[in-house]
Amino acid sequence: MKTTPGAAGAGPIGAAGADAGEDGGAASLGIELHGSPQYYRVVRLTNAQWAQSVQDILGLSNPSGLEATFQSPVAGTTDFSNNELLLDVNQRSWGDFQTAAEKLADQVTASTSALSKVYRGTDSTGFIRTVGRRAYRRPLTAAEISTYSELFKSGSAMSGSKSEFAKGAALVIRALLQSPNFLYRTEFTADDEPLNGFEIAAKLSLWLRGTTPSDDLLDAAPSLIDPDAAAELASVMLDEPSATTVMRRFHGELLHFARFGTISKIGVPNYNESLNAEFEQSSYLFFDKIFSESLGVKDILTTTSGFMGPGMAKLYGVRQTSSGFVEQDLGPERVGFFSQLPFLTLNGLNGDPDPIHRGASINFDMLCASLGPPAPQLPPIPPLEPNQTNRERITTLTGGCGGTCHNQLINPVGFAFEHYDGMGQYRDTENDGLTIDTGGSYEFSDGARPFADANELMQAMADSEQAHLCYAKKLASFSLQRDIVPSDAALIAELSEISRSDHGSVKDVLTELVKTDAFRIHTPGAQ
Amino acid sequence: MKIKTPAPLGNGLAPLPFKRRSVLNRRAFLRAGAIAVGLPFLEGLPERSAWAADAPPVFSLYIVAACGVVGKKFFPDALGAFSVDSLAAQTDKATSVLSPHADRLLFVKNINFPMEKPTNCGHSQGLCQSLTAAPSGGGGGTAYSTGISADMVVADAVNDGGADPLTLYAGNRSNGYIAERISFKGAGAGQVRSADDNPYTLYSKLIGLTTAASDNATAAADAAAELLASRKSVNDLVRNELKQMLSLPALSSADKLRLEQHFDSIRDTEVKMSGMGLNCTQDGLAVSQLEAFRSGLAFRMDGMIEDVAKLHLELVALAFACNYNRVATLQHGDGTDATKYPVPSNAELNWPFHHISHRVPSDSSVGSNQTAEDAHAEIDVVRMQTLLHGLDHFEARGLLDKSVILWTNHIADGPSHSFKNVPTILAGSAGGYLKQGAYVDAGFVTNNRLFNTLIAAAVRDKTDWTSNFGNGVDSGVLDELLA
Repeated sequence: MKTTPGAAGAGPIGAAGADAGEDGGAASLGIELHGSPQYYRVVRLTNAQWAQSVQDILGLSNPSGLEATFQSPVAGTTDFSNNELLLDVNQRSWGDFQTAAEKLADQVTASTSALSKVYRGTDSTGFIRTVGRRAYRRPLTAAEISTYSELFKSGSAMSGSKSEFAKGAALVIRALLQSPNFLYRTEFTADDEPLNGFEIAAKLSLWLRGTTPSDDLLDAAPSLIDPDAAAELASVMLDEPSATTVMRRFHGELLHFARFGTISKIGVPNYNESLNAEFEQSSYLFFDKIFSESLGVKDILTTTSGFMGPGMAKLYGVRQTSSGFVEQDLGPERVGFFSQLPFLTLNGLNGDPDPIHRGASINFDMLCASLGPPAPQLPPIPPLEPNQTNRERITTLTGGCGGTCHNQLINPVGFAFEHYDGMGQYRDTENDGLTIDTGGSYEFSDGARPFADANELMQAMADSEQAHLCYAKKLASFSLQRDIVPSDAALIAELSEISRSDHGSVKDVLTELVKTDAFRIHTPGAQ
Repeated sequence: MKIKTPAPLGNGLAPLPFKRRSVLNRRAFLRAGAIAVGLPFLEGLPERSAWAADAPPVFSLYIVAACGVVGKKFFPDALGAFSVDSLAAQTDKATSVLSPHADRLLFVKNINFPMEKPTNCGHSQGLCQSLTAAPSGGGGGTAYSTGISADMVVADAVNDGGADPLTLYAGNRSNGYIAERISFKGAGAGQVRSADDNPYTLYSKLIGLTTAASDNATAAADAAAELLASRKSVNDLVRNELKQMLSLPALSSADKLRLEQHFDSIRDTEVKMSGMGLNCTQDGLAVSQLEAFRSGLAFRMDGMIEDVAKLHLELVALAFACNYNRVATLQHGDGTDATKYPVPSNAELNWPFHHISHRVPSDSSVGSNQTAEDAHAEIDVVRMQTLLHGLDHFEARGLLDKSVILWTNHIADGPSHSFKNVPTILAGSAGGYLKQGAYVDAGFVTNNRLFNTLIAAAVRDKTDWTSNFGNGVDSGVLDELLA
């Protein structure tokens, strides 16, 4: 399928359907697409990609850890920290790369055995060709080999007790690791032409393996211009453990797992801070399973299976014999990830449920609803009165301030979870026996759906077009490393349909993405 | 009533003032302290001397703290001159903590941000205005500035080659809502500059870790020269590759800007021993604490923020003393700071600072809990103790008269989120340019006038920036602040 790239911008919420017309389908897509992609042809490696790449290029036995003090991308301005907009080289990061390159070059040329892990031979040209190809992710040109040969000679003549070969190799490694051909993943193929095989190999390897292409992959790279070959390779990569690691980053940023460490409760007897780490780890394990076992969005929303450590097991009322993390069926009262402890506790106001944040989080992260920024002066949540439910309290509080955002989007979703208190514990009644009302209706992009409780809401989301569109959009943004805009509407609709199909898995969506022009052909930026 | 004195946080840092050291020659510098100092630090010294030039440099540090202060318990009641003794006597005011440096302080009343009031999240919008004097665009986690920040303007003018300022952060970047938002390259989304939260990062740059020190000064000098020459070779190769990339016709304008920025970032600097300052040593640094962050900063919400801020301030003082950079910013706290300060009045509440500042245990901005107000006042004292720690280090390195340190906040106070009368402390005379030992009323001016003055203090040359920085009302420097 060929998508039609175009200008960046934002598209409105439209009627249901996924028909891509002249406008790229923006008007008919069920979610808004905002952003300002620049379609860079030069996207700097992320710190994680840099770290794994230098380890593999230089044959390091252990991670260098040098990236720990590298400049980090600004947090929070884009959906994901690997967005092209954040990956440049400035004064600060240039200094990072220079220092690290010098340190690594010194380290791997300090002994014959270390240097032999980089390159087994002792000829300078072979060294330059072999190590240079790994760093540049393509064969070096004759001119480049000549330049590096001169540099090798210059390094060999430097002072010091190392061998001439080691000194020459050290200077070449310093240069290779500071080269823009290493630091940037590039797409220099002409407009409307498919990326060449080496560009595809680099794109796939850095994305799904998190590192520079292996020597074997570089050998096979020319064949990857064939879309089927690229898709086949992607399928292989998706089954590798490294892909699960990459997808941890996606789900962790999508659902803000770093926030678990900030959970803080006051006056809640069954809470202690050691639970925070369990919430984070159990969430990663949940999504590891979703990805590695070829599950998808429907499973995220409807599975009754969850992971827990010892502290969580007590809260779930599950007998756990192991001190580590185990997977358990949580029963029909906990359908999907959002009915499990991590989400419910993070979005709990001490011991009470927090329907505003529960509703807002799901609207933002899983439904891509457009919610404006919060009001400048938020009123305090009043004490719960006798004979008043939490729902009644929040409805009264937000009745005058939220309009559409609260009354039609945030509150209905948040109220669906009112059976779970601020610690995620199930409760039949509240406030001295009052009946809990979890019912509501949500206006999805393909129509309104009523629900009686969180379980039905999750099923409604799983059936809806909107949740799949949203997940597809976020996944495409992470995978293509850019904002997704109205001109991507057809792509998102296509990926969404796969996600929404009977057994649509995350892996299926990603495999399909590799076949699309959005992945294989560079979208030109503004001249 | 005297504000309760909070218990010291953490294990405490090195006592100050530390013992003054003699002038360093290069070899002595290489051997200073417990850790060998390597070549990258020396290489990084700018060509211009901090003390040898005809016009002495002025160093600028801008600190932006979080969530406002308790106004009635912060500054002295009366405007006018104050002394060490008179400021120390005002024990019900947080700023009395700073009394040891009273003769180097200037308190300023009635500085406003350009926006009349928040239109959505006051924290993010306040951050974006604090050093830009320009209204914020957007809101919440995606707020951005509509102008360049003053640290970038000053750095471009006073740093060798216009090197970027140091950009530091004490807080939890993983909080995920509003992290770094004070230093901006310009207007619009994507212009905010990333900040370093781990003090070890700057420390490692300052001490250098790649080359061991040598006992042989001549050999060390030769090694340094050879390292620089080899760097020049590598830099030339990289520049040539960037030029080749830039010549590709397929590049977009954004690609070209990105590669040009990379090209301009590459520096060939020389070892200039004459440029080193008298107090460019590791003495007084909390080295063991810094080394503990070597493998990363696992930020905690238990008040660790103050220890991190103190370490940043120590390192800024060292960086200035060594003329490594002449401009720095420190964002002290997240937009919605979740630190649970261990101050007396928070012992029972145990609320995060954001909620304390709101006086209610939620994101609601209108609360009235008196214990929370008391806790906020105590937190102000803690933050002034942190500032005092930094001032002590500046003093010990002989920098206070050569510097201007701004301490401000992203809002005036917690409950109102007001952008009016934002607390403003100036420390250091900027080489005799600024008034000292006084509390003055700026007269409800917008902070563009403040930055006109601070830019003039740092640059000492009239530019457009000294007249018309930012977007506030009126122009020119604030006469009330001048010596």
